[in-house]
Amino acid sequence: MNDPEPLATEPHAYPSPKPQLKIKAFGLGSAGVNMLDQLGLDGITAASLIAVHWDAGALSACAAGEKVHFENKVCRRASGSDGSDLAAAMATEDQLPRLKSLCSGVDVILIMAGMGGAFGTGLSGVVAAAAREAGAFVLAFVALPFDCEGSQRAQLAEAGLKRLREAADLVICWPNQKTLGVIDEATTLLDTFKASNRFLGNSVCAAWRALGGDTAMGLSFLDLCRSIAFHSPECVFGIATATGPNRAPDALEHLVAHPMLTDTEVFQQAPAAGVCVLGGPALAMAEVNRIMDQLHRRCEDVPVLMGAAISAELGESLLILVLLARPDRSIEAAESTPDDQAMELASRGSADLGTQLLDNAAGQRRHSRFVPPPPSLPPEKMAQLLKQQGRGAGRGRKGQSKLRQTQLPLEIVSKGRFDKSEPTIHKGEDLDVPTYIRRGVALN
Amino acid sequence: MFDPSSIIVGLEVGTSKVCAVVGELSSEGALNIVGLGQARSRGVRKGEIADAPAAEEDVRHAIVEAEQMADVEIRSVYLGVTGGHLRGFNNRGVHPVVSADREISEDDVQDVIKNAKTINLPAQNHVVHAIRQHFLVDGQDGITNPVGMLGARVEVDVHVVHGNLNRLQNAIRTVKGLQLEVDDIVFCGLASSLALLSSEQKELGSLVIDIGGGTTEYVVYANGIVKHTGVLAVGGDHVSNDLAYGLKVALSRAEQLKLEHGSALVDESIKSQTLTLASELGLQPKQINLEHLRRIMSVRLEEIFQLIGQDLEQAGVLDDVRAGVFLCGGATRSPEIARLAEHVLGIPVCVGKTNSISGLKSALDQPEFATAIGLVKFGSFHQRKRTAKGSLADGIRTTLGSIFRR
Repeated sequence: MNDPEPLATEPHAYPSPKPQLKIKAFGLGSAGVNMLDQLGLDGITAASLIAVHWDAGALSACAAGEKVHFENKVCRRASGSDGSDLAAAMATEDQLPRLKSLCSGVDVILIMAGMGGAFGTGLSGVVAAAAREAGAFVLAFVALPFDCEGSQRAQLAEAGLKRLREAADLVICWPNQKTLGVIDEATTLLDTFKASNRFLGNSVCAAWRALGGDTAMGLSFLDLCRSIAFHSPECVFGIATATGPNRAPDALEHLVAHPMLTDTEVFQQAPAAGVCVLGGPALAMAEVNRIMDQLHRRCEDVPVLMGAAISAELGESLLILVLLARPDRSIEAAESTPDDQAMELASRGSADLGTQLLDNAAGQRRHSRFVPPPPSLPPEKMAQLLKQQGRGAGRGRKGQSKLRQTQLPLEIVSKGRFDKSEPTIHKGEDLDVPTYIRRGVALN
Repeated sequence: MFDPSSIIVGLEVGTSKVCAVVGELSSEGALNIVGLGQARSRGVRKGEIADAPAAEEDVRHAIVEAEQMADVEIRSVYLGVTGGHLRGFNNRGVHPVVSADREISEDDVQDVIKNAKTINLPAQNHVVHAIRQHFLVDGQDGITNPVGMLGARVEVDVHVVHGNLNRLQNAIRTVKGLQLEVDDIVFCGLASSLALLSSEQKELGSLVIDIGGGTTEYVVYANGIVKHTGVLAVGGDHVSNDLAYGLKVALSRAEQLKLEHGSALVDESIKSQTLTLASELGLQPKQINLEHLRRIMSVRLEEIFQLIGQDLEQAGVLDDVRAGVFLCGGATRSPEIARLAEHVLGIPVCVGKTNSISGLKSALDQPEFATAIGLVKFGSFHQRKRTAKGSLADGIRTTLGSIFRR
């Protein structure tokens, strides 16, 4: 069904001995389609871009070569509401064969979507599963909603992300909130979204180039991705590019200034790191050496995998891609999120650019909220954790998953006569709460 | 009998009861308990005053009762203090011996003790006790009295018990509001251990656990000295509260159930036995599973012992307890509690007896009076020391003072 078009990334100067990877990019929903447009601008062949949307108008304006239109009523009703599951179910029934056929024969599928809405959130998981079934390596790039969009949307995004992590090989998140750190006060709303799309679009484009590049040293970018996916289903992704005689140090400087990588902890806490250096035919060994040396130093004890590739179309410029597996800290992250969100919302009102940048650099609380949402857990571990939570439910307010945030607290144990007295906290345990509840002793 | 210095009163303002014990110090220095007064406590939560007027009234009742029984007028008391804010730790003071012949003098000993008591505490904290442990002379451990020994350096370990000044003041103010003097404040756990332990047991190493209504205090003695103290703001009230919550009965009913049917261990034989509670409000009579009752109680008491065990292990004093564990306090009345404690702590456990004092034997040999009796005993030590030390001038001053105070 899909035509094996020669890709724009095909190297001309150094023909690859291996068959070129077939790459396709899906843009799902409004955000995804906008990112696709960004890719089109960057010179990726339209034929390998697939736009999926329910809005015919947006689709016709899109530069993608392949367009999938969902006009299902179920889908429309779902849009804007908590329809992620609806959309997913709908897609599974009607359009699955079409999506699968689009994925067949492709080596790498890149999925772009915005999380938090109804369409992309639900469909991304479905597309990822279909693509994986068709034998492709699935790399998903998703934008997470701004904090001011509310907890409902954040929950929706989190749920969608969870499904996506299970379905895709590797997920790369771009919290839109990060965009706030790089725009100024006067930026319009539309421009802000454009900037956000540009960030993700650039990442996708860089990944595309790296995938298309000719591996000259170490692992190919695809193998790097596979290795990282082995450690964690989600990774932090940073790119930097530079040209000129000083391109290696410049690119390094840009890299550490990348909004996702400003925090050194991201480097040190990653279970594994992957670095791909991509350059034109003139890429020098000294440059690769210098870059790797700096990054090794930054990562300290973290095992770093590397690869260097040549891509003729880069010409004089140098591109560094860094993949950092996300540590498996989903539980703490999920717990800390509501507080952080509240704090962020409180501080938003008066924050001008200067203080925002300051906060980014110094605020301990702030930085944690900039870390993209946690990776998923395998179902059995999830079940185990849920069970533990159930047992420890005496604490009531702690440990509930993020999805329950807007609901009433599950179980508040009255402390009876100690309700008004100072709580007896011993090593974090409230001893006023009946022991049998804290220990989960079953009274049948 | 009417010499005020020979009358010693211990007052414990506990969570479940206020208890005043009157002791008489004979001229030979023997202590005799002559009076006892107690009242139900209503103004105390977790060992600390929560409702001052109610607590004051309860103290008045107890004092009046004790005065009537002992036929004395109580002017001053030794007040027991407790609460979750009290902390104990060991501190060491150092003093170099400067005299030419390197002989350690009485002054050196006073200096080193003074140094050891100089503790860096937050301003709001007050030292309740600084109990002398052993002296070290040039690093040689285990010296009881270094006066007259030769050495270049004297060190002393003290066990310091400190707490929040304001919270301590609350108890003192309540007593002072009744025109009573407070001779001294004493950590309740220490008082209980004084009442229960013989010097031999202190020497061998003992653990005293006083599980009261609102708090649990514990003290470890080894080699005759206080090694470790601690307070948990958990007690019998928590057991009742757990029962009220778990069995869905009123707190007073839970209390009653605890006393009548409670046990620290769950016996296999009571499985699926039920109790029928008569309803007071015209509702259906309520069935209560006896196993649940005991299970709830058992886990709570077990947890108390576990927490103590963990703390002692962390402090590294669990191995010093060789003579055994002595329990006291109201919660000790729960059947099988010694077995439970033995099971958790792995040391022989028994319910302590206050048999080192004469008088009113049958009335006083109850686990819940240990603290008040211990307070009297503490007072007697104090008094003896004072009279032993008192010079002629001091004697005159005290006598005059006491006349004017009247």
